Amino acid sequence: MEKWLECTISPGQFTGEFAVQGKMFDDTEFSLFAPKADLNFSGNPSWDKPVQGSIRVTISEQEDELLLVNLPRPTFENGQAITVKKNQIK
Amino acid sequence: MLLSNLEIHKALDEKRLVIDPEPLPRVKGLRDKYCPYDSHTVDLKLGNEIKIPKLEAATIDFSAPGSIANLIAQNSEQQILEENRPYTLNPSKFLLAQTLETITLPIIKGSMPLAARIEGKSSRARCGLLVHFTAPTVHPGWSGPLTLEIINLGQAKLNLHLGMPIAQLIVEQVYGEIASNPSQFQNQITPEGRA
Repeated sequence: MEKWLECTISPGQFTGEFAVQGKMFDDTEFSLFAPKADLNFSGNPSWDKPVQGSIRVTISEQEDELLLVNLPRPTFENGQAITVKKNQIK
Repeated sequence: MLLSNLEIHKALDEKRLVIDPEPLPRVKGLRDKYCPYDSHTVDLKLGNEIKIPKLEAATIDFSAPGSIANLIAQNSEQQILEENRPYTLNPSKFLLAQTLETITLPIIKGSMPLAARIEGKSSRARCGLLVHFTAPTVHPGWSGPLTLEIINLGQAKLNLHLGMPIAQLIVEQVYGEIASNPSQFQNQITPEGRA
């Protein structure tokens, strides 16, 4: 099931990709580079002014208020599947 | 199972593999100087964006979550390659680049997915050019250019030209069903089109 996870978006390294930062269920942060096609945001993010947006995820498991979601690219910290709270998902 | 050049052509025709722009010619003709296909590989070219990490003063801590993508992105110098204006890579220097081509490995229902691996070219390796050192795998469902981790391990300076054949792609069939593919939503298509 395709959903959108809230995140903060700033410029990436290459054209068409962005640096994405977000939080897992326990407030631990994750970061990754993701292509524009997997992001939803408006405006023009810069390093001093990142924008709030969301990243495309698929839900692979859920239990109570927790969801295991798959990101479009692996994170630097926790692989490609992370656990988030239900209310972080749109 | 690795795909032969003819099987790579077939996968391209059937859109199980998309390389954009498609490497041509598929077969070397009398007047062709170069053909990107070898027995079971296809060459990929160097794209125009180069990123030179400027992280001499930084310490990357993999247990400090949430900052690595921003740190790397903010501390990269960009160079844009142009026709007849190569970038000279000095010995022992590292940079990131991307392939000119976008690679897409769609997951098609009822069809065994394809994966791929990017490898260097022996002609470049003999001069000390490394184009990847730890991340060769292209997973089923991937769509995008491939990032190259380039190091000059040789003693001579190396000129990197826009569009030069720099790496080769090996395409392979993944046997069996994929249980939980994190990338599957990216390019999942049905025989009728995108899901």
